[in-house]
Amino acid sequence: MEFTIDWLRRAFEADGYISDEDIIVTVYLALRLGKPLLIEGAPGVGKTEIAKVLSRIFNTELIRLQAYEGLDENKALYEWNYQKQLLNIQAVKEDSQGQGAKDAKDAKDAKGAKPLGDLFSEDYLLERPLLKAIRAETTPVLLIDEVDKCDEEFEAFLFEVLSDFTVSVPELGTIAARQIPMVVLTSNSERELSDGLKRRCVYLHIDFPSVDKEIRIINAKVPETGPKLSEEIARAVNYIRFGLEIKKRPSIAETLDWARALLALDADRLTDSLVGKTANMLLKNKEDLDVLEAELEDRGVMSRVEELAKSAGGLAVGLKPGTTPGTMPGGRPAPNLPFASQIGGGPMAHITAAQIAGPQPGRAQPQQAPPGLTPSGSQRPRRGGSPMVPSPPRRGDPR
Amino acid sequence: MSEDPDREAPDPRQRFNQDYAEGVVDVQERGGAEVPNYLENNLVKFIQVLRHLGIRVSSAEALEGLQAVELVDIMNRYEVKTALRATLVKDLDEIPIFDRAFDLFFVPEEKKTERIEVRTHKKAARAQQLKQAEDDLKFQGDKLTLSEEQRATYARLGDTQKQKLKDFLAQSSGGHKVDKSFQPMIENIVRGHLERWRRQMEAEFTVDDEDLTGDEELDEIIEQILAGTGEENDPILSEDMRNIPDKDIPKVTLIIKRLTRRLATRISRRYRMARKRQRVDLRRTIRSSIRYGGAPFALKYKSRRVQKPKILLICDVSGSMARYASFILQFIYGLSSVVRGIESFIFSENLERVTPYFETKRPFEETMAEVINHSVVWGKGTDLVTSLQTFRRQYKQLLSSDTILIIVSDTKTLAANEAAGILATMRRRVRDVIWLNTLPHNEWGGLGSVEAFRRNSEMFECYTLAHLERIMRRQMARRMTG
Repeated sequence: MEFTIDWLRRAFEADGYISDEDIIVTVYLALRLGKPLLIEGAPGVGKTEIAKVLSRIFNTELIRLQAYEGLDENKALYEWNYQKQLLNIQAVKEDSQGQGAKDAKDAKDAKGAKPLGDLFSEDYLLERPLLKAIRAETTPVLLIDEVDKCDEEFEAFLFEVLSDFTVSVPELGTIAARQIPMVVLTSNSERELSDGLKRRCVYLHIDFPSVDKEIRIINAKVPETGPKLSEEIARAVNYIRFGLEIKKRPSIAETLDWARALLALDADRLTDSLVGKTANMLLKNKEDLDVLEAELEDRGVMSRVEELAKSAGGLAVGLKPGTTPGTMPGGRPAPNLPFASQIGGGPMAHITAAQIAGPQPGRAQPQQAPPGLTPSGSQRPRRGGSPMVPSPPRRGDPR
Repeated sequence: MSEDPDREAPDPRQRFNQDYAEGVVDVQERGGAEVPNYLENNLVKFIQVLRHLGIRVSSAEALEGLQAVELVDIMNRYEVKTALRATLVKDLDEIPIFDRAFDLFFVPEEKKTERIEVRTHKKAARAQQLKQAEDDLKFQGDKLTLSEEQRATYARLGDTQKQKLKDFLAQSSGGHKVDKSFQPMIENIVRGHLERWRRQMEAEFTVDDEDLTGDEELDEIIEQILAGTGEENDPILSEDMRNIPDKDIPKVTLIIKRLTRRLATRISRRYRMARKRQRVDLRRTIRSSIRYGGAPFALKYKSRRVQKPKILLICDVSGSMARYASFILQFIYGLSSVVRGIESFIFSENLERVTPYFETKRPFEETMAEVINHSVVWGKGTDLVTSLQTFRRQYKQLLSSDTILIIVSDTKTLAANEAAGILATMRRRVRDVIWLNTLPHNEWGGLGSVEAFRRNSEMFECYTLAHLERIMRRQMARRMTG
């Protein structure tokens, strides 16, 4: 089934996943290009969740492969059931021995003696996540979690599998995927991933959310918090994350835990003493807690948070030095018309006055691109529209 | 895929592609300004910019980028940017560079022309300045022999500095009994002066011509971005450790902690991986299979033992070197979890063992303060010969074949050749000698001491934290796998 960015955005929203526009666009591209999606980011920003959301909105199976050091082909792809094979050999052996003794007495049993059969058949094949994803009947979501934890050799093997989705089992032959699974890889960037793997993936980096986004997340996940408290929580967390020199920045999950804890204490607004009392919901090691405590004694957290909120003029505290540029805290920007000529969609003369006059603020209506902009002039994207781009082998639709 | 049958006239883009495919148009010709504003063309140029900025974009990724752009709304700048970012950039550090390149590259036509004009202007001005430099720097009416770079340095100097140099030249030209034979000496002084200024300015930023493409339009973008990237990364990492102000020390401490922690996990992963290279242990396999009646049910493996190295650190703490020493000590001690032991010494006029100070679990700052307070050699002159002799007399037993000897020094010592001789004998008894030289590489040339020590050690330039991190990462990694 074809789907649009708009559809995907609504589906994510309906599933309760609050996301930025770049997440949606990137996920969309990965699905449409049939490429694995590599998601990097700090722990607890919702990387794994994307795979889960995808499996829910496409109503398909989620196959998870947790990477760890020492993970090898046997555990990721397939394994012969050694024990079962041995038992079978043993059983057949005993059968034939027992039968040899009784041979004269009962000829009927001779027929019951099982032949050894093929020990390398499907019966003895233990499917591991990768093979399972390849042999799945309907397009599954394959989640390879924390891929940075696995060894480099395994990584090399992995990108071979991910590039053509065929697996060869020497005893059975080559098994090709019926359809390309939607692959999501996550990484905490504990280690540089190899260029080969990166090259095969569409890349998405998820940052800690902006204040605005975190407010929306809190409201969606812990709706009882109320607008005032949730804003205070989001701001305080943002300040603790980026304003203090701490080792482990609190994740979104910890923010939500904190919100619940505050609710349990019947808090309706956040004060320094409350922050102090509940800080262990956010910070999980002594040194970080000490930093926060020192800050509370020194100048207080909440007064500082308010100060920053004011200077930032309401939403979106610009605390973090390296906030990913291009992340739009306040929803998507309006389409930028003259941009067509900047990216080189053709000379400006091609765009008629009517087209310039009618930019759509939303995306509900596909915009009519000027001739020569998109291969067919229609909004619906097609694969391999121009001869310069070799069309990728048709691997079945993402859906 | 096939063309749409209902397309009336082939659009320009289609034609371009056909030409391209049939080889009608030479690709080289397309670099010029007469190539129209086509999507593919612009994309290729953009990717060229990215590559010159150090982002590795493969052709496969370039094609993917094009496919991606076709899938999104081409009228929407934000979507196109996201699409290109997702397909072309695969590294977090490269994202800010990409974003800036994108914002600078995809601008309206007028802006582009304007930019080119500004650039031509700048270039002319620069040429003018160089010319001026040539005219200014004269000794008794003759031009001084200076390199292009030195002239450029002069051109970038402030007016007062320029005047100073000019005054100096004017004075020396008119001196009593000063004739042409003085010119080489004068030239040397001027060069030294300019060289010093260049080093100072280099910290700010210069663009290498190698980074440029030759295409005016692209070069302008590349220069603009390169000029800005210094600020993006933590500037402290590439700051000369000597110049880090005291107020930044807590921050540096934190950075060193972070760097070493990351490096340590990385190294320990290597250990485990090296240990994982295992083979079947036949004896244990058979033994354990007895209970299954001899069928080898579960295989047993034996693995290689990996020996962690020991580090022996000898740090120069003479006047100019003290600051480096405290950072490097902290860095090396950050790696203590992945080595079998660290022995540390400081030296200036003589050598002192400081290992015991670091054996207590106290914050590094306190330990360091104590070392400095108790040390009698901290901040004195450098005498490596005496120091190494002391080492040989008292601590010889610390040298062993699994020890990595790390020496931190600018090599400026009394009797360098003699010291090098001692180092040569020490080298035979350790696994490796790594010399962290705090002098920038380009100053090594003239120094005999550098040459002497280099013969007996692997010498690396190391005056910033970034250097230190890179050297330790490479060296440790090499020793793990080797």
